[in-house]
Amino acid sequence: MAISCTQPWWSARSPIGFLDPSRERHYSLALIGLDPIHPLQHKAAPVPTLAQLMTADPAQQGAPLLFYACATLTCLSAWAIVFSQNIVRMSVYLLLTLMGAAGFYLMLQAEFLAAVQLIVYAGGTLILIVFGIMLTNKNPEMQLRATPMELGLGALVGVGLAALLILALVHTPTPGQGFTAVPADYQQVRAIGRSLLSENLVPFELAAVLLLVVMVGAAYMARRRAG
Amino acid sequence: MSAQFITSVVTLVVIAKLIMVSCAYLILLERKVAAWTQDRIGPNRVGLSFGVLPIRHHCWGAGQPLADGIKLFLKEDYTPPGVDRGLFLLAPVIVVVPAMLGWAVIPWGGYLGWGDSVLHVTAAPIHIGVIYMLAIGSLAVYGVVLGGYASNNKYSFLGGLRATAQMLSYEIPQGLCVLTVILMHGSARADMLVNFQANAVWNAVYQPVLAVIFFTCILAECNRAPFDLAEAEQELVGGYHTEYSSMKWALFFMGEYMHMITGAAFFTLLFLGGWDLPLLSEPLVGGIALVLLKTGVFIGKVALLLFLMIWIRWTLPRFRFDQLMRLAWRGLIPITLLVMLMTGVMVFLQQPAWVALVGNGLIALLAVWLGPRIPQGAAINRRVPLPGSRFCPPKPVNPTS
Repeated sequence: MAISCTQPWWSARSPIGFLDPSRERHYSLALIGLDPIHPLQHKAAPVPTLAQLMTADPAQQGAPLLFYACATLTCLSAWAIVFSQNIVRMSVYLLLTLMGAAGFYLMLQAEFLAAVQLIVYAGGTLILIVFGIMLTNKNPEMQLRATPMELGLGALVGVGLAALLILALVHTPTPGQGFTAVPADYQQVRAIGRSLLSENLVPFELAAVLLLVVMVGAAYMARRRAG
Repeated sequence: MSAQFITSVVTLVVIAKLIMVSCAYLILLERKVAAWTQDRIGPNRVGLSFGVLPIRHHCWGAGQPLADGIKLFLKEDYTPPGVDRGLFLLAPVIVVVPAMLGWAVIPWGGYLGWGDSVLHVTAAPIHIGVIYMLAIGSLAVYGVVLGGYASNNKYSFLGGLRATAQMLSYEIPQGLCVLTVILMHGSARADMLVNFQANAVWNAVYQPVLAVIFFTCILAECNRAPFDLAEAEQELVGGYHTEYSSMKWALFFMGEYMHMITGAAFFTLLFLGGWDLPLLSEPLVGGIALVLLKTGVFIGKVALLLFLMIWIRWTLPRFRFDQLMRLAWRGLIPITLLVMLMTGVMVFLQQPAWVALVGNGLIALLAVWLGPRIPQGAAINRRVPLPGSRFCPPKPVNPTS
């Protein structure tokens, strides 16, 4: 079977996808892959999400395995961060923890969040490594030890966080209680973009301004020390 | 077992094997191109006979990669004392794996019509294809940084730090380029981007400035000359892989070539229309023959880009570090931001696509005109009178002694 394009390549009237006004109402279709120009739209199977691919038929039983793999990676490397004393190794373990979290996002079909997690936090961890190296510049074998006071404070924060998480876990609906699976044509990038620029516009802009202020402040301090 | 699953697995296996082999032959090509550039002959001694097979011809040195492979396997794998063992072993792996992960979302051969269904000739046809490529690409630098750190060698370490700064700087314009393309087409799916281009004109025609910047960023991301400061052998012995030997060293090199292939495929997908060739774009879905043809077109474009990369490496001298930073922060990032703004306004006002070309031209002219007029600031590479350097003033002679 061969489906041919309705238009030859040279006579395409609107080279940039959705700029043609007559296609504007189909704009949302283009995002999920049903391009109105292409005759393919009636034939194309919905594109599976990565989570669906990973749990494709032969590996249907593999999904829990994947979850436990991600969980083990996240937990073990989180423990390793706490118990390691070399700051560069800590950063590497942190990277592994963040990747495990990205794996969870993937399993929850939040692929965009997983990718953003990798882009933002992988870069951040890289900076951490550089700072770690610079901080331990004087003595590369420098060991980081916590004082009793820090230990107590850490335990307090840890218990509080654990209580919060358990509370959240108790209140999370399980599949039987109204938790619905994501529909196949759910456009997460679009939804996240919409919510950032409409409902959550103020926190979004505030965070941006805060980051800018921090950057300017850091540059100012660095300049004064150098001068 | 769904048909899409089988297609994905077959694509993945075939492409992975193909790229593994072509990595070895890319090294031969690199040496040949270097030889042609420098008016030499290049490696031509190792034929395919290896003293066993009855092949008398020298085969233009085609046996060289195989011989190199055997040599690298048989060399002593030496781990110097004083290294951070875990990270030292991990670094070459981290260099190779992200490059391989990137191949998963590239639409190598368009669509395969199978019975009533349309299958993607891709390992993973996911919605966020292009963003996934960006995310994976940002992981590769860890191998370089950790390898440099774990080696317990000042020069390796300097190479690693250089790679960090370079990668962080060049990721920004690269990400902005990808965002502009997504903005233009309203989709982040790799196969849809190719479809849009096959239906109209390649992105490189309408956004030439963006294409050039993206190509530059790819060169920087895979640490290729003129951006290979991490392994500048004149300054840093061997750079971040000074302390590596045998297959660990070879993995670093395989990683570099795999990154070149991934980057070239990414460029082809975004700007050169993927599997599209002007007279070939008509049947969108076809049988196996068409898919193979389209895959061949895709691979041909990738091969051309690889040749271009190698050609650039042996033509252009290496940047100095401050030039490298200035190029990214004063050149590429503002220009890309301007192009993105222009594209956004264009999309909002629903302008025809040739406006993008005009806008690109105007932005290029503006950059060329404005570039020399921006105040340069103090020279970063000034002579620092560090004690012991040749710019240090001589010690005052103490008259009392």
